[in-house]
Amino acid sequence: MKSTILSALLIFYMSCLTLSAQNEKFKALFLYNFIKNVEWPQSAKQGDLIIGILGNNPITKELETITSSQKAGNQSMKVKVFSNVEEISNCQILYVSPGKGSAIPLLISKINGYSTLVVSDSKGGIQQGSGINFLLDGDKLKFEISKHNIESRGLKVSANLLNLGIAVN
Amino acid sequence: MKNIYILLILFVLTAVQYTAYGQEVKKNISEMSKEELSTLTYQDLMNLPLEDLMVVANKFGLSADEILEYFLNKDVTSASKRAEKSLNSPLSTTVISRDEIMNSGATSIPEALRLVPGMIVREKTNGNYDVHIRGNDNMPPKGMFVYSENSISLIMIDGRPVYNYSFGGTFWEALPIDLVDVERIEVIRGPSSALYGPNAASGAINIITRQVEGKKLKADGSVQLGNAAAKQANTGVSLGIGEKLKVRVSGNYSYFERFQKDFYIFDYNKRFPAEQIKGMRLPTGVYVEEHFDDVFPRPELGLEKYAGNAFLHFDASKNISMDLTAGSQYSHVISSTQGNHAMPIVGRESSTNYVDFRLNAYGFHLQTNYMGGDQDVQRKTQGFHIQPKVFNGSLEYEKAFGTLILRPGISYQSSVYNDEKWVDVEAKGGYLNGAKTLTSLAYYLRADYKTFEKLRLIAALRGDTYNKPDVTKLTYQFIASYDVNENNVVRAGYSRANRGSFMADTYANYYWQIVPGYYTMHYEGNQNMNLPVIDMIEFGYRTKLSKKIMFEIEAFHSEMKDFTFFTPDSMVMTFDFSPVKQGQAPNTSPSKIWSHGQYQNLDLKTVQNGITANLSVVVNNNLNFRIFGTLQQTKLSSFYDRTIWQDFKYLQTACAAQYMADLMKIGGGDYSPLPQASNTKDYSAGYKTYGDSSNVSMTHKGTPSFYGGLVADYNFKKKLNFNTSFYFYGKQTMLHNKIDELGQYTPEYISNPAAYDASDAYTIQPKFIVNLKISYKFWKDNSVFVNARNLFNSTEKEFGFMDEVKGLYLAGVSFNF
Repeated sequence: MKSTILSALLIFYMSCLTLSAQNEKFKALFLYNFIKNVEWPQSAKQGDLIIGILGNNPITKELETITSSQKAGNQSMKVKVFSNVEEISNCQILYVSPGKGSAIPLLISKINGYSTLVVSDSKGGIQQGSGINFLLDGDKLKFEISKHNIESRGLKVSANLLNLGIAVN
Repeated sequence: MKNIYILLILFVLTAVQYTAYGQEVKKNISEMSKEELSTLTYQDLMNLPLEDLMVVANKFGLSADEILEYFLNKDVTSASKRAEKSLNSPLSTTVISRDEIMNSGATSIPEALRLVPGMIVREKTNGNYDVHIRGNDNMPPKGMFVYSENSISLIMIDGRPVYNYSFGGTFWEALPIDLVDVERIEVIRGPSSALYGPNAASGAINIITRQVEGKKLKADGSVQLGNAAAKQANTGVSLGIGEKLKVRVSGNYSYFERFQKDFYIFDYNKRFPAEQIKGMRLPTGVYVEEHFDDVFPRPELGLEKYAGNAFLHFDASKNISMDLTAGSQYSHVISSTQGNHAMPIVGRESSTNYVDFRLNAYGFHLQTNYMGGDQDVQRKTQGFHIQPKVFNGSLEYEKAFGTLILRPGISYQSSVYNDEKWVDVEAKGGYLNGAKTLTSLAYYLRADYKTFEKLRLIAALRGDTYNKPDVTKLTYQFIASYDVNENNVVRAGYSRANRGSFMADTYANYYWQIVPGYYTMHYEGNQNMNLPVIDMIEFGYRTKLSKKIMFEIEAFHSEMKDFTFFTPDSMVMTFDFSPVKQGQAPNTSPSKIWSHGQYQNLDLKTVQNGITANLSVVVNNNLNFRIFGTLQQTKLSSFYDRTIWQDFKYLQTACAAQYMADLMKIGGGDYSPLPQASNTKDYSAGYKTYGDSSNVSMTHKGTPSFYGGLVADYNFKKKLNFNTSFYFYGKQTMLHNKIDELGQYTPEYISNPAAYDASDAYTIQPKFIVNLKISYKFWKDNSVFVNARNLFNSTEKEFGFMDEVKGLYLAGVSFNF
């Protein structure tokens, strides 16, 4: 009996160990991969690479985990959260939370002139001007991609990324 | 001192927790199985190129955190016959995956069911298990051993029922597949005849076999050896031929010896070595086992089985796929009897073949299968050898109309059992005395409707028309499930299910020569009984407390009635009056006894109330655990609180009393009772003379009031895996029809029957079983392991009158290439 109590204690102890964050893991990992597959103009390669997030979203925490240990080329990465369109400042990537989809047309005009890759997470995101849009096809996480929308902001996108996404123009 | 060691272990575990990261991903992602992918760390995932990341994501069929979903919220098809998440399953379901089973170290399918909430799993002899869902086990109490078998749960392999129709139940050892073939096991707790047909009264278990992935030639399997002469070898080889055809062949072998090699005899309430039993007779003159060497050629045997299977999957087109499976098995076990003999254990031998075909085309699902062979249910014992031939065919069609999904179906089942090869048909020397057939034809419809996005209403109706009894039974299921939000689901259901008929209780017509030429019992079935039926109301709640924690609880109330039971009803004793006629002392015993008993419905009703809860926690990619338990109470009313032996004794006394009365008259000078034409006279007595006055209400003690378990799996550096599982049940009392005769020929009993206590033989003490498997991957997916079943060697028996169950310690290799 003593040994079973010990085993139970052991398991309890193990369960109390670090609860590493896994929220929105894949979307964050996808975003990190988008960065690897997009080339920004020279002007945007100065200083840190800013990942902006519009709206409160658990992806923030996931991205912070990634940015704390990874680099984009020579650039360090930083995560910035904007609670509304007015707050948006220059950033290389802007992730628009699902709840903020309706703000896309407004933010597109707000970032006019920035070399920003807009990644949305709502139906019709591309049509409203984003470069990449997450979607769930049945059970599968996929993304739509618009070469036009990305390149019109002065960015270059790898053929590989275009191949992996669902082309929408 | 001990505490220091514990702290050290904890420290090491903490350290490895942090060093487990930073592993390189060497293997090609697209070649990795889902289980292997689930071992990837965050660092691995960050290093993956997008195309590989998408492969990972899509293999999990995913929204963002599907790795967690994989553990917490698996796909389940059994509950609704369509793939859906466990969280949304409208019934009380649990799915255990291949990975969980393999990591657990379970040595067989029934043992793996100890990982499932709501399951009562007891080991009878080494390798042989009793498996019940929720309860209603040992029901009715005070019956023969056959009533301890689970005849009210339906076990299926890929939807093919493997029910045994001879006495009702499942011969687990005679399943052709083993764990090497299992992809996952889905368990539905609660009546589900409306979905699956007869016998899914307390629940259903669907064992889903593996699907071949990719085109490469792959082989996997394991070999393990241990104490009790344990040997197990399993292997499977798979291959894709072109894009469309997938082939897998597999084989399995198991051998376990009993932990106790002697034999219990009821009448002495004691175990005897095999050599001593040979030729042993009870004081009545009846042999304990007249043909001991035939019945038990290997008295040490627990279980031996081997089988081979072939699986073919063909994707004809996007909308058409088919599966063809066939296999052959042999098994020989020493386990509990189905009959009524001096000893509670017997040998059982099966040799069967099956073929199963499934076709999915444009929403139609056709399944047809056949099983045939040879089963000696009670090895070399007169009357128990049969040839079963079982056919099942079903056709279903699924069509969605918006959020309404309809699934109508038709099913036909036929089982023909034949014993004429081994019995004297004219003398009614067997139960069946020829080929006997049970059939059922069913029509069913399931409607699944989602409205207001959150409310789901399900109705399933099924009508089974049986040949015996000649009735149509309607079973149904009504369920409402409400998604409070995406992480909380509440549900309520009402369902009715029934057990079907089986051969013995329908067709038995056996002149059992208890003492040949002297005492005959006519053991008769009944073709006009009501089929046992169970009604249940259930409430369930599932919640994902966080992305890592899922909690589920179900409360159930079930009522069961129309149990069928073999009941003695009449006796004829023949007395010879020749000594009296010749002026000598009268005979004190009859010259012949004839008795009769027949199956009939009992008045017994059972009411079970219970709660099952399950908590699943994924701590991180390396550690997950589950803890579960069931609390239940079963009440019996109108329980006929007598054994068949008490009934027979009553009938004997009633006959003998008439003889005595006649002798008194004759002694007093009245010679009218003397038989005239012959020297013998028959005295008969009937069951109805004392009727149902023995019916009582009581709490059922055969089902433990608490049972449950815990499973924890810890993976260290993707190389070393620790899996520990606990299984626990509370005290039980197995009421068997011999309980009043236990030890009746011992001096202690004879001197004071009232003081004689034999309760140790049928009381099952609470048991806490700890299992541990540690495996180490030495090269790719090939590992060596040590596997302890019942680690601390708790030796209590787990089933009334059966063997003690001791620790089984195994070591082996598992390979995968």
